[in-house]
Amino acid sequence: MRFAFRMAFRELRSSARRLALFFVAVGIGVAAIVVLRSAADSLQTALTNESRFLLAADVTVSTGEGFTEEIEVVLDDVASGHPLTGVSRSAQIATLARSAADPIRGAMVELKGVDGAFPLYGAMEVDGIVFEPGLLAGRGALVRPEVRVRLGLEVGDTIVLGGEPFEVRGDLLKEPGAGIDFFRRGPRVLVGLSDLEATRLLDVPERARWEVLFAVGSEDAVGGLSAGLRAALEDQPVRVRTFRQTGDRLARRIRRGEDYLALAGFVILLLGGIGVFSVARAFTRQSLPSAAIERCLGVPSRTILGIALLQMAVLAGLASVFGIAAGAAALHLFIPEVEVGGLQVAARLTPAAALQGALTGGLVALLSAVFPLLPLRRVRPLGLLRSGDMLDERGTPGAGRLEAAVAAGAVLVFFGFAGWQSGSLQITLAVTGGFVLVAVLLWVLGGLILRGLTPLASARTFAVRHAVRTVLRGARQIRVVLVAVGVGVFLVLATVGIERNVQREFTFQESSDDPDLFFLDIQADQAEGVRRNAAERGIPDINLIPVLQTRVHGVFGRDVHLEDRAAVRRAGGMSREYTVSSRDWLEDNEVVTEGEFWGGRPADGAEVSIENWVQEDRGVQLGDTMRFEIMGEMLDARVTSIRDVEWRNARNGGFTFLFHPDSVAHFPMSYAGFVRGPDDVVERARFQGAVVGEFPNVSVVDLRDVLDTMQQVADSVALAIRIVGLIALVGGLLILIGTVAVHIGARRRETAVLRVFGAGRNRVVAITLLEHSVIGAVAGAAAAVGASATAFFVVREIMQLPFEADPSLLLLAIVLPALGAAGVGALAAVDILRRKPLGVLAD
Amino acid sequence: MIQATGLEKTVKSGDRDLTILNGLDLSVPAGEIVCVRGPSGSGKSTLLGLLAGLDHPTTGTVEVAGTHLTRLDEEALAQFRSKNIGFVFQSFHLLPNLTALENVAVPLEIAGAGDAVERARELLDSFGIGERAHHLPSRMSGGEQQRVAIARAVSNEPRVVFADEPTGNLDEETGVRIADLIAGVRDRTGATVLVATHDPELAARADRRLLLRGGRLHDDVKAPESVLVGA
Repeated sequence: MRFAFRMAFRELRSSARRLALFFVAVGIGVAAIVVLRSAADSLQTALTNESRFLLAADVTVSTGEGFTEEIEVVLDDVASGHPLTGVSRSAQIATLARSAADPIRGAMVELKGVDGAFPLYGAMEVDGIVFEPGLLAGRGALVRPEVRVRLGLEVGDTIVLGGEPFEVRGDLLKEPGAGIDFFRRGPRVLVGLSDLEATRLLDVPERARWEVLFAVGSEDAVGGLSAGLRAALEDQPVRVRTFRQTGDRLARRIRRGEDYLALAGFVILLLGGIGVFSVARAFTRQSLPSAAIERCLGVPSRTILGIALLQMAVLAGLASVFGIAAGAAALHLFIPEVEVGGLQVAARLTPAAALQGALTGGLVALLSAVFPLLPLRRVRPLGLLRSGDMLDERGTPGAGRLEAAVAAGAVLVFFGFAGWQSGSLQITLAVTGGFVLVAVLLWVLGGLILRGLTPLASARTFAVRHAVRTVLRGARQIRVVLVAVGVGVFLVLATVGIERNVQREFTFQESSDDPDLFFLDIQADQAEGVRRNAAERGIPDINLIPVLQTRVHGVFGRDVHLEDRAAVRRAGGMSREYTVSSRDWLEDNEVVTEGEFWGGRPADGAEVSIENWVQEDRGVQLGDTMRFEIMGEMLDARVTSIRDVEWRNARNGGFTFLFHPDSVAHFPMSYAGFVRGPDDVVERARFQGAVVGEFPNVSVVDLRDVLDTMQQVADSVALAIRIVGLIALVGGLLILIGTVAVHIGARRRETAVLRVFGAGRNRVVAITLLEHSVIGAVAGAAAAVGASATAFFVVREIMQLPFEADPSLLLLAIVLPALGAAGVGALAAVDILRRKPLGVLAD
Repeated sequence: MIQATGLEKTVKSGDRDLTILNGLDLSVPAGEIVCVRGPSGSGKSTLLGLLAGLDHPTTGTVEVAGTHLTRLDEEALAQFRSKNIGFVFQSFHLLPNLTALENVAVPLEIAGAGDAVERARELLDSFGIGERAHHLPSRMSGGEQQRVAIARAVSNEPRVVFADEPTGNLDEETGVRIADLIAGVRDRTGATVLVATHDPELAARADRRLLLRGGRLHDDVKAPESVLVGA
């Protein structure tokens, strides 16, 4: 054993240069894991905060009917059994606000009353002042700037809410707990809860909403509290929400972002493994003469393998330390702080991330190195006399079986470990399947493409002829290089392909003409006036959509049976008021996934088309009957189609429930108008004021602040996605450099021979470039096929996002590896040309 | 054919300069076979490298076939080698992924010969290894590999062939055959041959024997047999 240690250190000393790449591969891999884990932890914290920011609490209980004594007792009971860190109460209602000085001027607002403990998470942002609860005391009000502009008020002026005067104390810029509500009835006005209660506005049933907010601090306690509340309030008309189940699309998007991070972590491990595999393979080849000498001197083959593994282990340990330091430096330099939910989140190295990096790096390095090192057991001492036959191919009985078993074991442990790290079985299986498929595909396709190159072996140009001949003759080695580079390209490409699609989900305001201003309750005879007002401000024709307000009062279906409104409330997910529409055509952003859309045909009884989440999340199926309450009447409608609505392109609105026009023709419908409003705040307010001034019944919903909040969340997730995409790219580049560099090591001696026989610089460079760009292009082409299929599967089937193939990405997948490999080849050519041929041959 | 004057080659060895050749002069007429002997590390390979235009001397001049090699840049040297120089190595240095035939054809292809493969095949036949033409080096014995290497060295009919310990890796019997081949290069192509060797069999076939010691060449007064005894 002592001998093995001594030899390992001696050989390390002499082969430090050869193993530098191994050191770099492991070091970068560990650094990537440390950065990713730390960034993911920070992002997780940030997203958690963001979700909490949307709710301003860990758990909320809300109702549209006020909290009865009975509910209050239950709330007290359940809350006392959990370690609460904060409780707050709020209530809100849509109402008309007026200026005290100019009572003619009015605007519909969402009035919210909060107590002194609000918000439990996040921070209020008030223009020019630091928020503190005292700002609302004694009938103080914070208002959105557009309310002030619309009513012609200044800070210090009086605003009349529910017939009571309030003093405007400042502009409300950002508020936790606002959630994401596309159909908010007006901009926010915030007052003290007791002052709101004093206005008697909350006495109007069904228009107000009351909420109790709880904070428990730890994520584990959230589940217990929410479960307890749901169980205890099962029969009550309340809704229990946690910050993890905000139920809106944003939360789903955030979860997809987390899925992507898990995928990226997995991919980085694979990339690091391939890098280490390549280096270990080259190391084995270069170590054969030394191993043969040691065998001659009587060293057992087992000890020779042990010496090599010891070297790898020592180097992996050192590289891990280097990687942790590099990761910490990268975090400090490139990801110092991210602002999420009004909080500055710093991505700092944590002990857990460092430990994970070191353990993962060490394990991946050894697992990836063990298989390529195994041939050292088969070194023939006689091989010294003939370098081509250094390995005993027939040799040791059972060697093949052992190598296959070790390889299978290493792969299993590797994928198991990586899967555990990613935390997603689906993603692990999808990427592993893609990985294996691409490896096989690359092996087969590589062989076919190489065979296709055969005619070029007798090309007229010597450089082409020689490059192709070398590639063809070294086919087996080249195919290993192809697989290593190709799988690296595949992983990067799949990651980037998925990134692009996920990224698209997080883009809300890319297009400058996306609607951000909604006009509701427009009557048929007012449509022309609204259009005229818009045209006067240079806003193109507004598309007016017929809408109704409705609530689900029952589902009578194959899988789901909800008898009445109470049952719908208990089941959750469909208990809110919905704005619905009717038409006999599909918009561009809608696709029917099941059933048949009615189009122009007459209705067969009342018919409704539902958005696919109602089927997926709530179990409502085609053919089921849903009961809706519209203007006090009940309507039973049969589900005749299920639609996928792409909300990113919801220029004309998106509707969860869409009725056949015949089914709701007897209800008086109002219209909703969707338009991109002026960017300037004052101009926006004037436009809204003009419409509301002419048609007081029309409500204006300004989505700008909602979109801003969504954009803020999207930016946070997008940043994380871009960072991991970059890490994957760097990993892929390292593999490319490493693998090609190892390949070039073998070519150096041959190039020196060519130079001895008169091959000039240009010829050497041309041969090297050609040879390597062929390898890069072939690897890239095969990888592009596999990566596209995998990205399609992951995006469509696992993340359930629309997938859009990107031809430019496929082209890049071929061109970039070819250029990258050629670039590495060029660097190698410079190195080869820098040295005297005799010096190279004497090494 | 070869005229070297005041050749000096100094290299860095750690912190200090190591002088390998120290004001060496050499003149070799066309068609002569010259053998250079010397202890290991005396600079034989360095000398051959300088004379073949594979390296530049620190000072001094080298003229081969009327061309001052020390005045040529890398590209011009490569072109010169392609037309005028053949080289045989102790470790053969055949391109492992090319067959014997392709290895022999490489210098001809570099020089742009249209009939490279045909000429390479003729050469292999004449060296008695025609049947191994399509074998890779790894499937050939050391003697066969060295014969391919010699065929490659003479394939473009160079005016000078350099051989660096060409029999050093071979057994005695094979070494004798290779020595015959090296000596036969002059008869076959009329080339001047400069051989660095310890092999008395090979040295015995030289017209002139020189000893490299202290960075300079001296006449090697020992007879080939005594070289063997004294070795």
